[in-house]
Amino acid sequence: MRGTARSARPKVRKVLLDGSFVNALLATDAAEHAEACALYSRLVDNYERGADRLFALSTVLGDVPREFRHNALAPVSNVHVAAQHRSAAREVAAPVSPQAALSLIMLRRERITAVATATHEFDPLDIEVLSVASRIDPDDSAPVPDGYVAFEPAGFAPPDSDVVSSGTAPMPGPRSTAE
Amino acid sequence: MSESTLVRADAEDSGPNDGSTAQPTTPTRWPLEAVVPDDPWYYVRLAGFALFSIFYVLWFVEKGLIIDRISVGISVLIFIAIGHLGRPLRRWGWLAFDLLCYCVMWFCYEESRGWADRAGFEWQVEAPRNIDRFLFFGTDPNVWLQRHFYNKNVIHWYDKVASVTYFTHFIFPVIAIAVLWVTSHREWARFMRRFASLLLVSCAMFVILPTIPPWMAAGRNYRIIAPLARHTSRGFSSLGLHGFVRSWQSALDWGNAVAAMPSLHSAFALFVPAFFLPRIKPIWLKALVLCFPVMMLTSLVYFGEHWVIDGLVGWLLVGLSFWFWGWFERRQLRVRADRARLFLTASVPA
Repeated sequence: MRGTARSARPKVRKVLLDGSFVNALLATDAAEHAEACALYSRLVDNYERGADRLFALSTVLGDVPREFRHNALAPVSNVHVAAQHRSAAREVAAPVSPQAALSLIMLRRERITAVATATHEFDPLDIEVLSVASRIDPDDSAPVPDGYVAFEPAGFAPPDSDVVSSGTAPMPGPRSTAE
Repeated sequence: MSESTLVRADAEDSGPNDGSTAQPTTPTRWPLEAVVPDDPWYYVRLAGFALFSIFYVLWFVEKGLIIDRISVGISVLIFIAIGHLGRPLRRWGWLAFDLLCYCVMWFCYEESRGWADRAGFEWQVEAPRNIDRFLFFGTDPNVWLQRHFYNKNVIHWYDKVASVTYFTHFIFPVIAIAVLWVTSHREWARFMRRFASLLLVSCAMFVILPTIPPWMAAGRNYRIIAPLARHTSRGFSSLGLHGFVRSWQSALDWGNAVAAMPSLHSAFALFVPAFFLPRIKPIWLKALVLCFPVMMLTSLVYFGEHWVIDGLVGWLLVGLSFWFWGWFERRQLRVRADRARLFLTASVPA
């Protein structure tokens, strides 16, 4: 897990478990399963202490087995995704998958400040990312989309252009973490 | 956290881009607001709240504050409807269910208040007076306060402060409920659990323990303490807010006069600050906020509306309500966390 708070941490942190993270928890044969369980264990400890509140999208929770939802994900609250959220997700100006775009919409609408994930899709965003994704060899990484350049330290795989939800929209001016 | 990231090649802080390298001095990250489109309804809601506030203030100045349950209900409903503009249908469904619960709660409260004095339980007449005398070494606090501070020909500044404090009872809880309803359903539910429990126990006490207030005990039917003036609205009227006072006077006609124990005025005056206290950081502000329930109880006693013991019991019920629901919510967290841990234990080999 490589998670860092980039801003002053609120007293009760709201953490969204994205689809890839829930899948990693569910799939015992997944490469990230052990790491996901370890992170989830810490999140559950925080949840019990009242330091974290855990959320997952209804689209994600709807796909997991009922038994898993009611036991393993008992601390996780449902964030209902409506048609208006799906519609807004199509307008996300970031090269991310539709699922990640939906997560971004709900992060903003529900004022959720952190995301637990098993992908690198949230890395370029100025949010707290609790990632269990494996590091990617820079030589194996996919080509960088037009208009961007990857830089060291490597480890971020830009999303495949096929799964970019709205790559046409121009990205706004970047914000440095040093600001 | 992976320090690798994706930056625009033409980003201003990416350093000189001579075509050979593009190594920025610091990794850059996109703020969420920059990539996620704004909720257009957010501004509609903001405008709606602004209009609502303007109309509310105009109404307050012209006709006084609304305190009857129906008008308060309607104004809260409008406020909450504005807060739900552009929300998904499911949220409106929750709202409808919440409203139903809310209405049932107040309906039960009003019905029980009306029923309480007809239930046949013995009225408490001397007991609260005796307890107050015991607490204050033989002095009646209502009488003492009025003898030392009340002048029927002069409205002092503290009469106005006490009067305003008294009437906040009709405003603060409603504002807290409405704001929480709009901003956080979870916090609203936490608030309402405690609030409804407090009302439930209070209603039970109104039925089982009908208690006459000091102004009635000083009246010609009882005369168990020295005469008292019931001058609650005087300070408020002196501020030019007559409409509110008229509403309050008419509300007294249908209210239950022997529902003194516990004092919901002092209970609510502690309840609202206590709920928001954990969010207040500066100690001095916490202390200041906690002065409010003391001010309320002092005002109630000064006006002859309540015995001191009524207020103390009100505070005790608030404490019990917060303690019970705090314990219950912590237990819920523990139970859910344990269920998740069971899965983790089974899922990951030691």
